[in-house]
Amino acid sequence: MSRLLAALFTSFMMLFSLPAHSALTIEITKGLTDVPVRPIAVMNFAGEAAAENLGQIVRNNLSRSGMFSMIDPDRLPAGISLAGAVSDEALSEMPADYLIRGETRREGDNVVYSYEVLQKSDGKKVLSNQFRAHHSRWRDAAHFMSDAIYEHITGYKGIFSTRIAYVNAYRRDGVMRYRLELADMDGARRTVLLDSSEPIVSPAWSPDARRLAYISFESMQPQIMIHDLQTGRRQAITSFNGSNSAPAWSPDGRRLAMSLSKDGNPEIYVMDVTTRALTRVTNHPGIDTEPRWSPDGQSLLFTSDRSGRAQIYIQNLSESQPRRLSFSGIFNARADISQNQKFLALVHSSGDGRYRIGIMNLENRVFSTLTDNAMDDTPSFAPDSRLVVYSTKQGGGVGLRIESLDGRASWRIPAITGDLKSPAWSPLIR
Amino acid sequence: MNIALKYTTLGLIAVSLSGCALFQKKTTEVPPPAQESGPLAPVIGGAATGAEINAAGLRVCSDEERNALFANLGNEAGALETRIFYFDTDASNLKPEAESALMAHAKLLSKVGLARVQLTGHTDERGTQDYNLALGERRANAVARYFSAAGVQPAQMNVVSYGKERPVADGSNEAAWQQNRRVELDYTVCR
Repeated sequence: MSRLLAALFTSFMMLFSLPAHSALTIEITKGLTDVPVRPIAVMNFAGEAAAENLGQIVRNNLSRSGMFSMIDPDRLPAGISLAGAVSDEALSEMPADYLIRGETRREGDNVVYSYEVLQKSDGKKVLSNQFRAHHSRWRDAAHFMSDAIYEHITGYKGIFSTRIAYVNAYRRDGVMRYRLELADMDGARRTVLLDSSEPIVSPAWSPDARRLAYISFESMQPQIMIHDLQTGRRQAITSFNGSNSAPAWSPDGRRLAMSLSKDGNPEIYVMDVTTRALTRVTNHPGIDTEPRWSPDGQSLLFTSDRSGRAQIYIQNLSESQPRRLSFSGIFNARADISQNQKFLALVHSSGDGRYRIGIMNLENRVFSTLTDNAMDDTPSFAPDSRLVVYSTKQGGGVGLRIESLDGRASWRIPAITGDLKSPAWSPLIR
Repeated sequence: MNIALKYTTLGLIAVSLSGCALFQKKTTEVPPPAQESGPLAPVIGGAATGAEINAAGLRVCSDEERNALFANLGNEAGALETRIFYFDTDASNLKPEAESALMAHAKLLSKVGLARVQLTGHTDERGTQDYNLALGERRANAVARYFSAAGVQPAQMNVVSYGKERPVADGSNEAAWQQNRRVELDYTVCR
């Protein structure tokens, strides 16, 4: 695990030397970038459990966000130590706007975590908190503290406690296998939920983050499964003739939108998860797939090739005809909508042979590309509406990358073996 | 100044704040424990159990069974050796060069009503996973429709699409893509 963390840290230190993203990318997303990049210093945590490197995880998280420039704690004035009082003079001399310190103390099976944020400008303690958690949960605690610190300084939602579901396609004895996995948003703490000899595609989180829906080919035909993350219980919710694909939970968690070809060609349906009652949404001989709910639950976005090539459409559930949303390029598919309803992330080809992640600003309809790769797929927004995870072909394999719409953050989730694909960013975990 | 928030169900307990916090920012809820089902994760499917399972894990006829079946077509049996059919980019129309083999399979299936085939549709890596599942199905259905028109019974055919999940050629170039845009025809019952 520490090697993984070290590799992660190295990979995103390297990213800092990469050129900034295009001006266009930044332009379409301005409004997200009104918060200046602030210098901050995160000290190592004091106390007996400090070997767990809590300060390092908090530092990595805040650094990874791209919203801060990280000041090496070694550059802090001599009057600033891991714990104890800090003089106003030392604070005013530090080369950072904020100082973050923390301390741990073991209490039986639990650890008591304390942390504080001190502001340079007035030397005041602007955030101070203490909590207790089981010693096995130090990583949750580090992410929890990171969220609180991030939100306090930037005013934006922290997403360090969120997780990403994805599929790991790997070879065992020369034969392909597929694992449904979860990892923290930094790629650490991988958890295998299912290991199958048949493909697993398109995991989708329920809004309460307790269930995943996905396509499994384990019966040699595609089925939409619902997997309860608490109990591990799995259930096939559709096994219709033809394709059963692209599940998407409604914002209230009661319905699943999906694409079924049971009536001859792929159409969008909505299923009531409890009664299994189906409502057909589209009716067209073309391919209709990849539905996504608008956050108000009133409309579905989907991919259709009814115009000849794949493009994004939106249909209000009370109406019978969809409206085309994407017009730029020859292929636009698998749109995901940000929680703030301002952006679509989609897979876009301009016709140059590349498939990149595109961003459509829904307020002014300006379209731009977020990535500069050749073969991207499956964009998924983080609940902060700022970060997007997607799969991309890199070197010989497929891996996961994360970019922020404002171009400040970019990191990779490394594969240990095989390909990583079909990422789905969890909702905020409550 | 005590914000003894209860997080008991979540396993984290906020305790009283000491010190002189000048103002408090509302803290987020503490996340629930990570899913630790790793060691218990269900495992589906083991190692392949011999020559009668194809690359997609499907039970197929042995070479002997298939040859015996193909003998029903006499002199035309040679055309039956073609069991992979290729497609153009984003297209599902059958190519003229597939015609003679498709016709031979249709004849055989019409003649031997107990025989069964699986038609498996595939795509290249370009585009999205779910769109390609639909495109692969459209390709396999194009073969199924051709067979139906030639008198093959619907019950003799099973169609499944793997989209871009099971490529036969690696590489991001036209040579690899061409091999991956295909429908595979496998005999699953050869009586």
